[in-house]
Amino acid sequence: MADVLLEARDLRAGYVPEVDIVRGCDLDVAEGDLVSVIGPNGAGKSTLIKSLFGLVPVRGGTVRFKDEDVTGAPTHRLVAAGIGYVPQTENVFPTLTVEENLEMGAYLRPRILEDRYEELFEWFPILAERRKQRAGTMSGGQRQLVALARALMLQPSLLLLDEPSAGLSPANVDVIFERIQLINSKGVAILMVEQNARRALAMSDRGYVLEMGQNRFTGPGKELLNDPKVIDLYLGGRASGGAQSA
Amino acid sequence: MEEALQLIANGVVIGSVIAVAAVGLTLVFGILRLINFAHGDFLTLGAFAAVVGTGAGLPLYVAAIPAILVGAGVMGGLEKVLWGPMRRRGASTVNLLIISIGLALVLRYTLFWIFGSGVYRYGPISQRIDFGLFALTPQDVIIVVGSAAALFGVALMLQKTRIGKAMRALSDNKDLAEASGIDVNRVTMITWLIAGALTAYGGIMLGLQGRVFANMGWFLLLLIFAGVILGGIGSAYGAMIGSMIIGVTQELATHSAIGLPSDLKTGVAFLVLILVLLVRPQGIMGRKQAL
Repeated sequence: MADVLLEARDLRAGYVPEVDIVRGCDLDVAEGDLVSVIGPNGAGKSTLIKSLFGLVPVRGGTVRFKDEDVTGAPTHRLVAAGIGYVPQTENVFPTLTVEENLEMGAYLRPRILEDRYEELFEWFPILAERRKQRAGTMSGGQRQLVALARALMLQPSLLLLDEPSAGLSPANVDVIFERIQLINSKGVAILMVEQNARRALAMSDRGYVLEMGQNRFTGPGKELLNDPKVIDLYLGGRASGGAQSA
Repeated sequence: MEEALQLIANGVVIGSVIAVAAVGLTLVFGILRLINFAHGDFLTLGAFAAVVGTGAGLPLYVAAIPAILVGAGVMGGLEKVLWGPMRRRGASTVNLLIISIGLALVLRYTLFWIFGSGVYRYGPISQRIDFGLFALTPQDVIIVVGSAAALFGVALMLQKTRIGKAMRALSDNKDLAEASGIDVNRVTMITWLIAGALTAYGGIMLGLQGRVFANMGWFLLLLIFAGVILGGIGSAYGAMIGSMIIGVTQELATHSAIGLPSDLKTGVAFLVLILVLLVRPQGIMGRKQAL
């Protein structure tokens, strides 16, 4: 197994004092891995990812990134350390152009801007065409690409994605998942929370099934896809099939 | 027709002053969602800071420099000791609004205390220059040109500089700005400093129109709010356009063909504000958003 990049142990977190939403989660992301977190609504998936990124107060447990303790570290420090994050909604600066959105992504290191434009426009050609367009005037699928590109500007070693396919049309969902796999193939580790559990698990090296803020099942993505208990509880039963689809 | 042109020219002069003040107000609002009722009194502060300099025999363009630094310093200092700590303690928008009203009173009556209720002048107002279609005093011309230069500078900063883009990003989406690695506290402080400098500058322009007195900024505050809201709150370009419309409308309202007493001109400006908002609730350049 590759070196561990991110490691969370017995993580506890929540918005309101005394009410933990994440209640003792363990999670590992190895370098270059694609990891999915799935689970029913209210399982604490988004809260988990936000607590890893300093957006929700951590109450207990530890988070280590690249062998350093970053438990409860402020967000801008995590960005500098090499974590990118794409929120589920409102993930672009609407009045800024595509180019300006990307520039904000590289705010900490403006010198690398031109080099990064080049690579990211290669990965997302549509953004090169729309460089001067305001992000707020773009379609949902295009906005998601702007959001991904912005988060990749500082060449993060880990990308956190909060429900990247939410609210997109089926065609756009395909585009986004395909881009995520492309990004991952370039060596960027990805930790994503997804509602589209089958699709997410099918492309994941590892999967975590969360319930009530705790780990329920863990394993390689394809194993979880074929685990009868996971299918019954979280993938809508065997009858709907699709376990083989990838 | 001649009368109308003259009134429009007068409107552009007052609109220029309103615009400079309105941009400072809207920049702060865009980033902090703070409606600063003390903004008008910061104009007064800037105007009086320049009075101190001219009183000591300095020409106004020299006296303006320390006055602008005072404006920036006081706004920045208040972020440090008042607004920042208040936000970190979770003060609500309404809490902050009430605090700003209190701050307005403290500023105004401190100025009354120091300078009294008298009227000060930077110097005598010169004779009007006839431009053919209208006539303006040299001071009026300085106000229009000086304001246009300041507004152009702000626009350039917002559009072209890294800090300006970060200010727009922060105004768009604070959480995402933070998640992009932007140091939100630093950008907020810089915004206050720019707003403070701009407001003091606007105050000096207002004083240049003729009189400096402790209530001058307070009297203009509602017109500044009107300019900001008409343009679309949070939008710097909107504030410039909105302020100009407010300035010109209220002057045109006194046209002899309309026959309204000049006491009613502010009322007419607000009537226009209401009519525009009925058609376009988010303002001319504003985006639909929940406050």
